[in-house]
Amino acid sequence: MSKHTNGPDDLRLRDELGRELHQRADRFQAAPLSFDDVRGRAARIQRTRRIKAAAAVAAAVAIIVPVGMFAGQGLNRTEQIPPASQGPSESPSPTPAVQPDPGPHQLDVDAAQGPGAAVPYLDRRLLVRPDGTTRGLSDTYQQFVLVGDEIVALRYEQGDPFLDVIGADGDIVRTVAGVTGLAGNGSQAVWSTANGDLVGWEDGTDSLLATPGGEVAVAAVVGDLRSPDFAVYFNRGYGESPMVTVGGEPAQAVTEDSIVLTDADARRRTALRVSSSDAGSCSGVHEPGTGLLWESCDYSLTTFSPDGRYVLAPPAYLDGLGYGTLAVLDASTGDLVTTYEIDGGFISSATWEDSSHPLVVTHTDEGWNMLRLGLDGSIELVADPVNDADEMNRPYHFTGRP
Amino acid sequence: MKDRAASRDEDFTAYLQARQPSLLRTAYLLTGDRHQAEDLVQNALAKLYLSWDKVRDRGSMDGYVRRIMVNENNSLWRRAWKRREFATDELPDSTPSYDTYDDGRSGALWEVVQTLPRKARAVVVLRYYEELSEAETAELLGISVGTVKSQTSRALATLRERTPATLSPSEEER
Repeated sequence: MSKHTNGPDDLRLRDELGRELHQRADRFQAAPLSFDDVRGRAARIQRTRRIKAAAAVAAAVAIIVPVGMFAGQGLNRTEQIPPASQGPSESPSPTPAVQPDPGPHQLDVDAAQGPGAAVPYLDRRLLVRPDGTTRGLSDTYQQFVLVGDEIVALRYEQGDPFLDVIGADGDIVRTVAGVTGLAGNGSQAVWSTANGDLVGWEDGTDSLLATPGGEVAVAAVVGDLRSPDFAVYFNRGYGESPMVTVGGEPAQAVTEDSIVLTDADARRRTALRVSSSDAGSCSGVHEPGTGLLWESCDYSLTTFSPDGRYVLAPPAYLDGLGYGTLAVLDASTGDLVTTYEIDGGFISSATWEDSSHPLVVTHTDEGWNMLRLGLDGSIELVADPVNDADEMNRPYHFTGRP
Repeated sequence: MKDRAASRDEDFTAYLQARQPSLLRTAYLLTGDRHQAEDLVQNALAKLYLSWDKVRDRGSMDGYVRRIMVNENNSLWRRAWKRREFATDELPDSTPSYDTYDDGRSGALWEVVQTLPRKARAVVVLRYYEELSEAETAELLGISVGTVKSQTSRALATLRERTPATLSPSEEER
């Protein structure tokens, strides 16, 4: 404890401190920055933002998983599970559901090895299926969704996005330039174009779903494309309200009080950013007919759990390579369920494996790891670590996000 | 006729030249390292350049850039970057001219400032170097005035305890 909290000694210390800081600062000399230096950095930031924007707007995918696709069985049976990049809902949870522990839990990249991921993911130029089988790809992709046996994936060439549809035989059957967002539901994909179109892909053919025009970036789809309830959520230009079009009807704002939509669940609840600046952001969950259920300026929101009960929540201030903490919040109340922290590294990507297990990709001095996190704080390694010091080249990509 | 983009770049360049030295000094106090300070300022100015048309109030530019610098300095990227650059958590002073400046107590003060948690150091720099009020510091950092008070109080207590008035180099606690 401090012996002095006020008085002459305190004032003297404050004066000394101010003097010391001024003297240190006055003697400091740095290399002057030119306009070109700053403009070059700005261009780099802009490129990063473009890639991140693509990640954010396509963060949600409602998957109707053809079970046989993963199990090597027939393709007739489908099973709907709610949103985002989950694998088959019938896949067994690696560990039984347990009581959440608020933590914070330190992520240990030396954790014991657990079973492989129950959701598909990309490992550099390989698609890894939940059954452990792999499929080679001719390129590296930052985002993908599965459409039956096809892979619809986004890659970037010098910052410009290209979408490839890769057929079951590995051939690229379609390439589209200028794609601004991608979402899928396991049997269909929807992408948005720089022309302001929303395009659906099913059974090897595309169809124009809607033409909102202007800046459009699809963020999430809910339901089946042939259903009148099929909903496509998309973001507009900076600061404009996200929109939804249901069953081909004219698009409407999800809520005027938001600027970016990151996910939608089967009940049409949406995870939204309601305000943003370089200094931080505020986010919340919106429910149709009710409005904003809650709002927080401590977290940003990415993905609902498959059962819609939870939402993944990185910090509100997002910048750089990733984040040092990841929270799980109650989607209905915004209450904290648990928090994970990583020391000496960062969390680069996160999704849900099932409703009680987030999957994360981390980078530390030891390289890249994929970890399965339990809401009780348990941690398991999921894939073989990739010993690569390069923090920019994440080897693993979950479906639906870069 | 000068086009809009050229005029914008001209305005920004004028701001860059006028304010850069001051911003670098603040960044140095925040980071304790020359290279990190330069990088921090370059990033903050780049973000300002991208937002130049949106920041209508030219009088708020410095506050805007300072806020970005403080947030960036607290962000993970910076920490990761620093870890790569330096093998330890110590913050070495890479400006050799400072080696002759240390007079014992002031050097000890500076050393303790550098060991403060980043957010507390930001409070100290904004309060005692930038000479912002508690309310201005709170607004810039996005925290409450109460938190500014408590961070300041804790930082001063640490400084007081670790830099006794009779300090001489041989009596340094660390």
